[in-house]
This record gives sequence, C-alpha cells and structure tokens, in this order.
Amino acid sequence: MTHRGIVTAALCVALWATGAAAQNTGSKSTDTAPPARTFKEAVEKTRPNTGTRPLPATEVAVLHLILHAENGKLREAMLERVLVVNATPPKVFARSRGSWEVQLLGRQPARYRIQNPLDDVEVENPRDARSPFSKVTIEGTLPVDLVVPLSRDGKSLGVERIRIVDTESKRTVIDTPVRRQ
Amino acid sequence: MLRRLVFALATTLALLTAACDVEFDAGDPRPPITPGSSVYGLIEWDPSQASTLNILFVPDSSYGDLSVQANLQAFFDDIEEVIEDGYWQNNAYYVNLGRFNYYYTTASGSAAAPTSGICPNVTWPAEVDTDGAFADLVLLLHTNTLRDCRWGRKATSEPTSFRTVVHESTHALFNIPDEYCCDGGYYSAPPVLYTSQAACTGDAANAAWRNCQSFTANSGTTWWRSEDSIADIMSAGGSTVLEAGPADWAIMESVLNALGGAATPSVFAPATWDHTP
Repeated sequence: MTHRGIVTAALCVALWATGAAAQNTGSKSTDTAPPARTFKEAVEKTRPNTGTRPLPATEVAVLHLILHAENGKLREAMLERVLVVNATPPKVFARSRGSWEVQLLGRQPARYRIQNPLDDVEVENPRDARSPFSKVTIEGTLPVDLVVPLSRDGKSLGVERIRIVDTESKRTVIDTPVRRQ
Repeated sequence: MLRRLVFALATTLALLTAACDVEFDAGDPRPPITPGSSVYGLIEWDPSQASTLNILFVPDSSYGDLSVQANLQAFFDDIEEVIEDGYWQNNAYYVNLGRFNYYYTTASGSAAAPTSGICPNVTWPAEVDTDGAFADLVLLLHTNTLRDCRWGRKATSEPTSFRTVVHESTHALFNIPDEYCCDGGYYSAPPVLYTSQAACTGDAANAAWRNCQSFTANSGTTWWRSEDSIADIMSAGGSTVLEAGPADWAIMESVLNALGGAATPSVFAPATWDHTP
C-alpha cells in the first residue's frame, strides 16, 4: 500500500468512526443530513465495517414451535426444539407490544410482548381487492420460529426458563428450560 | 475567511469520499460477518448490530448458485432495487438510514405457489435461525409472481413489490398494526389504533393530528384510528411506497430512540417524497 493509500484508508476509518460515535450518543439528530444518497454510496461508506469478526458473546434461544389452530384460535402449542446460538439479540424489547408475553426467568427476570403468531400472518391481495392485504386465518398447523434474547444491553440475564403466556386467555403457551447443547 | 474554510473542508471531504470509492459488485464480495457464517454484510452502519435494525435478504433458489458471480450480481441488483426504490422511498426509513444494517445469506430458500391455503409454499434455509438469528426481518426475494405473505419476522416478496416490502417490514421491525379496513391485523397500539373513542380522543400523544375515526373489522370489533382516513404505508395499497403517518412515526420513533436516536422525517402521509439518487 502506498503512503497515500495508507493515509486515505486511515481517513476513511476516521470518517466512519466519527459516524459510528455519533450514533452511540443517543442524541436526536433531527437536522442531520442523510449520510448517503445512493445504495452504492452507502455500501462504499460502510464497506470498512463489513469484515469478519468474532461471534458475539451474547446468546439467543431459537424456539421452534408448532401451533395448532382452529379458525385462527390456538388449540395446542408444541415445542419441537430449542437451539441456543451466539447472536446479537433482535430488538424485541424496543418494539414490545402484543398479547403474548415472553417471560425470561432466571437471575435477572425480564419480559416483553409479541403478537400472537396466529394473528401475525398477512397476505398480499390482488390489485382489484378491497383491501391491499389481509390477515390470514390459520386453520391447522403453523410452524413458528421465535428468537428469544438471553441478554439485555449486552449483559447476560442468566435465563434458566422461557415462559410464554397468552395475556388474553391467561394460558401458558410454552414453558421450557434453556439448555445449551 | 469562513467561506474559504468551509469550501476547503467541503473539498477535502468530497475528495476523501471519492477516495473511499469501492464498487459494490459480485466480483469483490466481502467476507462473512463471522467465521464460517453464510451471512455477509452489505451495508453495516453499526457492525456491532446493537444500534441498528438488521435486515437479512435470502435468495430464492431461482437465483441459482451464488458462488457464480453472475447469479450473485443479479441478487445484489435486486437487493439494491428493494433498498433504493422500496425502503428509501419512505422518508422515515431514508432519514434514518444509519439505523438499518442490510445483510444477505448465500443459503437459498424457495417460494412457490401454495399447495394449500393462500400463502406461498416456502422453504426457509436453516441458516436463517442460526447465522441469521440476529435479524429483525428476514426477507426472501423471489422473481416468480406470487401473493406474498409475512409470518412474524419472516416475509417473502418479489424484488419489485416495493410497497409490500415496506408495509411488511414496518410490521416486523416496528410492531405497528394494520390500518386498512376490515380484515387486517388489529390490536391496541396508541397512538395508531385504539379500542374506544374515548381512548383516542383523550390521548395527548395524538393531539397534534387527532381526527379519531372508527372502522368495524370483519370480526365485529370496532377500532379507532387517530389519523382519520389518510392513506399511509400501513393503510393503503398500490404500487408506490407511501409515507408513514404521524401516528406510525410516533411508534417508529420510540423504537429508533431505544436504539440511540431518530431523525424526524421531513414529510408525513398523505404528503409524499421522492428519493432521487
């Protein structure tokens, strides 16, 4: 790499670092100009970030469920398997809303809401339809994969059990220990 | 003096930006995000993924073997269209583009015409629940014409169904209910939807735009919408991407603020903006 190349690369990294630091301040940037106009520009600006890095230390549990429904209503829930993998948790706490409550039980209990998966299936309608989309009423079985965080704000919650409760019927849908294989 | 300084800074910045030039092409893909992973970063504003909503694109098997450069490039080109003509045509997504990381996986799935019911018959690659477990949205792109569906965080779409992509993404990423009548997914989500007129008219959070109007769902339940009947991304059909309404934005903003901050859109539905690169 030439001297100019090294200087350019260093400046590019500095530019990226400035942007990354700004994101972590938590301050509102209501009048900040967008950092890219085109897809290619965004790719170029963020390309120094997109390398291989170690697996995150945080874990998530992936619950493979089979829900049996009659006319959209839950009849039975079966847990096929639980898989614990290292991953950054999806932002479930930030968008917590809905009738199912996911309870993380263990050293530091936490909970958040999700939609009942039977009410969270939507289909695109033909152009001449009255509505652009429709909720799908589930009849029979619905396989559902739920990604459940085992950490919050980067720290392990020490989750030992995951319980999912339908807050409308008060029914416990699933209650399972978290085991690492 | 100040003008000269600003010009010098702008020129330097422009030169530096140009010097950072890297073509996005399948001939020079990035390495996987973690050793042995099937997931690769496309646009990663925050590689820690902590301050971003993370979107993972999955190729339908019709793209072919993605180790073949031409096939990967075709997939890349379609993803580019989805981002520029889909997400970025919605001003709330565009002004907050630093809050969205985009990824793809080389593990193919498949979406075919349904064998029963109305949703496509989809095979998801197992990797989306391991390598892609971090994703807030998993979007399988396919080129065959289908009536697409979303199941929680997983959805299918043709790469040109821009409004479907943004509508379904907004459900998955922000947990916002439907606003069209009468067979959508409805639930209490102030300041978008309320279960009673009193709750709608009494909520200070919607005072800036309040015009509470009701609709009765096919289930018989009456819902109250604070944004009257304006057409927004969660309420209307068609081919073009609509904006978020002010109530939708209130929820989107709360999610983005939880990640570290949000930029307020310059337009709200029913006004529109056009992203012209």
